[in-house]
Amino acid sequence: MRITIVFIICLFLVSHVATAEETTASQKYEALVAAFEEDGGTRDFAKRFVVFAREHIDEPAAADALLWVVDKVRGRRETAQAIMLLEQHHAEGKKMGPGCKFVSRARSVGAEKLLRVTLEKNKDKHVQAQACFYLAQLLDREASIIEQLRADPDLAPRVLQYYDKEYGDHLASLEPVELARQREKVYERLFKSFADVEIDDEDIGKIAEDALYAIRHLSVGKLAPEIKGIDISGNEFKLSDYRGKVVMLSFWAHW
Amino acid sequence: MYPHERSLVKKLSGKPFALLGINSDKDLETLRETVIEERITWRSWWDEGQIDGPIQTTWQVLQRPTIHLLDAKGVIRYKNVQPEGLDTAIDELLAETQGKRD
Repeated sequence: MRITIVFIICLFLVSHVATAEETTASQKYEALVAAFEEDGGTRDFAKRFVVFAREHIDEPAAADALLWVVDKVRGRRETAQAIMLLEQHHAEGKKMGPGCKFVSRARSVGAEKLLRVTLEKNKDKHVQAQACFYLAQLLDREASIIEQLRADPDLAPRVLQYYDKEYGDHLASLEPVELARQREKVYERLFKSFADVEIDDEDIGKIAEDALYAIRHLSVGKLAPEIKGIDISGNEFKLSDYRGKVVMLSFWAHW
Repeated sequence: MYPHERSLVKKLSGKPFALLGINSDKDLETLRETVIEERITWRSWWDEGQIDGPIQTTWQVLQRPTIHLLDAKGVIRYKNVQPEGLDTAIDELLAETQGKRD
């Protein structure tokens, strides 16, 4: 009996101490945010948020701090550190749900892996859906960057200046056909598993369907879909009449 | 964009090249006037006067101008080409087409 009581008291103490510590950690996080709002200095605070997160690494406040860094600072060393720590300690946590959007815009090599790990390991369907959707958005963005670079190689220095060397090298190493295959897989999964999930008021089923059509029929290397219609004088003509010629399709409006 | 397009059409006349437009202007009468005034000699599909007309919807085009390049087999080769890279890309596709013919 006495042992049981002692045990219960111990349990109570342990849980109580844990709660107290948690309160302190999230209060400290709030204090850091307030200090930032007062003083500014994003890069400086990013370092402080990373230090804070390391000190409280397994608590939800650490995830808040790391996501703060990923949201505010893109393509920097602190971004990469925050992404690595999130992957190691918080991929299974609830905080990753709303965090996926920031991660997808992080301009950091580890972002894709963090989203993939979250998609596989997180047990919450809504978090998985966000990881899947924003993984697709990340791959789309990379595909559109390399498409631009391919169409105009002179653009490279102007485009790549926005990224650090590591991410620039990553972009340069991407292979369009393989990237399209990856995007197709991610969108198939989004369509099959998460079409009914609501994310930022977007119609996920429609987005996935359109993306799959674009990857399968509107990508470089695919046969152009037929165009049939009337010209401005009312005469019908179609795209396939022009086989044998290089065709420049120009979507325009004079307004 | 019209002057660049005009010069391309002129420069490449006689080559296996076609510039085709997809137009989303609402008013067909005004459009016909524009085509004369701006000396737009190339052919355009009129996409039912809407920015979400059927052709643009199929091609998922959300902004104008948007330019894509197809090779002689009708395969999409360059998407969202910017004016700076346009001439080089067309020349490359033409060289490919003519190379195979010779």
